[in-house]
Amino acid sequence: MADAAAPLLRIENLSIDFQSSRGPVHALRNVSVDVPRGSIVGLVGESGSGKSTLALATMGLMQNNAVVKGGRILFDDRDLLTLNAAELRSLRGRRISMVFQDPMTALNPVLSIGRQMIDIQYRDRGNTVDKRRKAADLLRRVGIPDPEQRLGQFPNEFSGGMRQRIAIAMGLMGNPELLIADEPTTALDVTMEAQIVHLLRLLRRDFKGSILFISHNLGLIAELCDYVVILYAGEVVEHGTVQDIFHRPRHPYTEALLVCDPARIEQVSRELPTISGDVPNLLNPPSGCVFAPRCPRVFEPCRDRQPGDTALSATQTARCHLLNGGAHG
Amino acid sequence: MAEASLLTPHAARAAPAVGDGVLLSVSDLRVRYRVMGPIKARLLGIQNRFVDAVIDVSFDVRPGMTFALVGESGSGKSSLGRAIIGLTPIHSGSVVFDGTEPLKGGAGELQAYRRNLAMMFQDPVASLSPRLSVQTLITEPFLIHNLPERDLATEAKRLLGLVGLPPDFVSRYPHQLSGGQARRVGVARALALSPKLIIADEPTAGLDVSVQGEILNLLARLQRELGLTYIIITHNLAVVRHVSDEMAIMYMGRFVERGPTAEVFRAPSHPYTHGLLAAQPNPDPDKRRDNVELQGEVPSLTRRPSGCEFHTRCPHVQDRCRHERPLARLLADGREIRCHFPLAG
Repeated sequence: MADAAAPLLRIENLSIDFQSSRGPVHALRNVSVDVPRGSIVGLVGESGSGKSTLALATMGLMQNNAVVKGGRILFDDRDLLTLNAAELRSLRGRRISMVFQDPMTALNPVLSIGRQMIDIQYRDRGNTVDKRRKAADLLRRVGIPDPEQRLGQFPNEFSGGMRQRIAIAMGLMGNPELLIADEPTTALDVTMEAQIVHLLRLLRRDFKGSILFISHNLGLIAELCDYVVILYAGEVVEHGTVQDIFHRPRHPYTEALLVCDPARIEQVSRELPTISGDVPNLLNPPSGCVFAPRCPRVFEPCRDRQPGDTALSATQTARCHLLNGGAHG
Repeated sequence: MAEASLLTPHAARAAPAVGDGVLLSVSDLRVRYRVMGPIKARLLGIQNRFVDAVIDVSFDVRPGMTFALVGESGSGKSSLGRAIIGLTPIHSGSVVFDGTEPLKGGAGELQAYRRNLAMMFQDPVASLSPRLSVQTLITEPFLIHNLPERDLATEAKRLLGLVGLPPDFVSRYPHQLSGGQARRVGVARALALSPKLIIADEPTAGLDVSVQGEILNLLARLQRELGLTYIIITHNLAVVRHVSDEMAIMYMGRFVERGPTAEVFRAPSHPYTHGLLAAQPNPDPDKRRDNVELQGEVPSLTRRPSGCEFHTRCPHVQDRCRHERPLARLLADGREIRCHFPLAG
């Protein structure tokens, strides 16, 4: 066992390219993320910011055209990128597991829920009766009534919210230390979303694991997470505790994201704030700051020189020229 | 971000504030779907082989206003939108538009009606044919409505200008568009015939917050400049609060609460409305909720609960709710609710 103070998951300077017919797409560039033990870390970013790439790389589930250009993914001090397929397989499901975005497609439609939940215990000794009991027990813990009867049913007999609960139960089957949840509530209604978020919070308490929670919904991040990482166009632009990010955002992109959320706008208005411009093309990322083309506070160095990370406090770091001695606040 | 106005005289119509007249009036509308045939129902011994997706829905839409339909999946909001435009047959009730009842008339009347009414579908990428260029897509309504005398290339550029896209987009195909651009093409297509009323089904679902604001601002600008009336179907309450004048909350096909948006948000009266508002995640880490007000999920439409249909999930349920169906009643501030024990108002 590694020492308890080290983060459970430490992603260091990870860079990933996707090969495409028009050249490499630089999807992640020097991304570093820590997930401390027992904490929930929120990964926020718009579509195309690389959040799912990061999750899939951690699971060792990258697409064939993905190439790791550098960096390490340390899980409990072992670099996941150096493991072979068999070693990864022994970690996945047991120590790291994942809940996917779409509960409709994550389950096999032609096998009963019970069959699927017993199948994924293939590594464990014990007979089918015990495995079935364990499956029913987990279904009960995620709030599915009459689990014994429902094990015989097929995914189409469950509602979307129930299916996501089943997917979470399956993710928790091996009692993992790290659960990666990739937008687990986007396909669900708000009342179900609130129930799932509440469930994740209870499960964190019971299972004492860590959660990497990926979302573009700022409300959910504020509701659930301890730490927040803001990803923009493949770079981490700011990270800190949830209070740092929501009360004292320092990067102009973080500020803009918070300003644009209609749920945070008190005064009713037909004219909503937006971030003008488009996300940069990652075939050819900007040479300076990645946010410069859309930044409302852009000044001379931004377009030419990449900003370094500025530590703002023990917990908060942002990557912006305004913060390292820039008097252009 | 204010976009430049690019109106031609042809499209410009006087832009009224929310008027007093009624543009669309829906009364006692019911939409019924057949679940199984009579033989299967007989064999299985099932009495009720229909489900009612929309029941007893009545509301008026005044010109120039935005009416929002809110509800969870399966609440009937999309069925209601489709029934109004005539894509789903209505079982009973009436839809009166500008003094006529187009859904009960012949095909010609329906076609004339659909020139005044346009629908923006939920998934913009899926609702655009991948094999047609943007020009073909946004000028298709002219061909469908037999208006070939229009110069389609000019019309296409005019429509793209209206929605803030560059004119060279005419030759693009849907896969070359971002989510926000595809949404704008959907708006352009809806605007083609200069309709009076646009029904927008989830206009911002799946968009990032920054792009979501752009689309909503575009819709607001078009409303101001063209005097459009909107019915917006959505589950995003944060958006509804900003963009709509009146709203209705649907549950199992019925309006449980309807009224001015500001009033509904100020003091939700139906327990379901209250629960929906409380379920919205609060983007402030210091105001976390530690309980969940609405538990469980919407019952199946094939097994409607007796009495008030919300009683199975209502935190304030009482005995009367289980047996007696509440009737719609009017509150002093103009709201209409269906609840025996309303929370406020």
